[in-house]
Amino acid sequence: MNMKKIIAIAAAMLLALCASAQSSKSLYNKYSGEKGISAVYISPAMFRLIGKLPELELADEDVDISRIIKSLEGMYILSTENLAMGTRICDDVDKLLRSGKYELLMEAKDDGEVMKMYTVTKGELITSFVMLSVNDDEVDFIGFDGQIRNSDFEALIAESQK
Amino acid sequence: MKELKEIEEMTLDDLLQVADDESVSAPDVLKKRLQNLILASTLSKQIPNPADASVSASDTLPAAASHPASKHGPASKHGLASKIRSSLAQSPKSRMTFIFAAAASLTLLLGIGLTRTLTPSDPVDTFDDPRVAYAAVEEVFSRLSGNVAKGMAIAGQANQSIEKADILLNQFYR
Repeated sequence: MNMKKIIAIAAAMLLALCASAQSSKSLYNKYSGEKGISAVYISPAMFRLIGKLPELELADEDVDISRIIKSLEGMYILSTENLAMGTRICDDVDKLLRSGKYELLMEAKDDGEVMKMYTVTKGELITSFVMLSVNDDEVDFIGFDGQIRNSDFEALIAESQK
Repeated sequence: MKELKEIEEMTLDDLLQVADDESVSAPDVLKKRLQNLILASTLSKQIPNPADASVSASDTLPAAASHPASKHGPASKHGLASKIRSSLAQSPKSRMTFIFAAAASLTLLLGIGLTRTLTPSDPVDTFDDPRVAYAAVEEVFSRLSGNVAKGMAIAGQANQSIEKADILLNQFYR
């Protein structure tokens, strides 16, 4: 009977492992080499280098952009004007979002363009962010991982509007 | 040669005396038959009841009955196969234990293999220059803030409609 329990637990762990395989990184790895897709990846190491740029440290006194940038752990951007590719990306993003970790932050539909933003939060921290923008001409996917405070994220967005 | 009646009247001590008397040898055929009878009697007493899993047949079989290949020497070649066979030949409970143990090991190996396969590898940085990378990050965040502003503008328009409806309702209830 104990052995049966061990087998059942091991099988459940395997299933959980398979389910958690989808992430922004795996999505980027899948599509970055495909024809018709432009892909950009910025690694945690690059973010640390960006954070050390002197012009960044002097940029703004209200928002510590340098600290926020250093807390990012990876940024993934996929963009395509190919309709078929765009549909595949949308389907995979839907699978990623259905994993249950992501929470809808905002959805806006305007003039045929649909834009959705999702986050994964751990207390006061945003650990993952996904934005999917779909219009007639192109599909854009932006995802980044990190340990960003909610307040810092809001400040960064507000700062970028200036 | 003793008669059958005389043999039946002999006591146990007399029989033991005759057995110890090595000058008299039994015929080979009789010897073999006696050995087979003794072995069969031993096996029938010592092979466990399937309900009683605490006794294992291989533990109690006499040396003459045990398979020589299960000991050392040439057994090393067939060790695993004979081990599996002996495990499966045991009682149903120990057979199930062996099967579950094998399944647990397989599941563990599969898990380790899948972890290594499913963990995505690190992609390569698109930019070499941090300044160019920062420009891309700035563009992303300005795009994000533009989308947020668009969403808030749409929400603002909806808010105007809600305010109008609120005014009308207040006028209605006065």
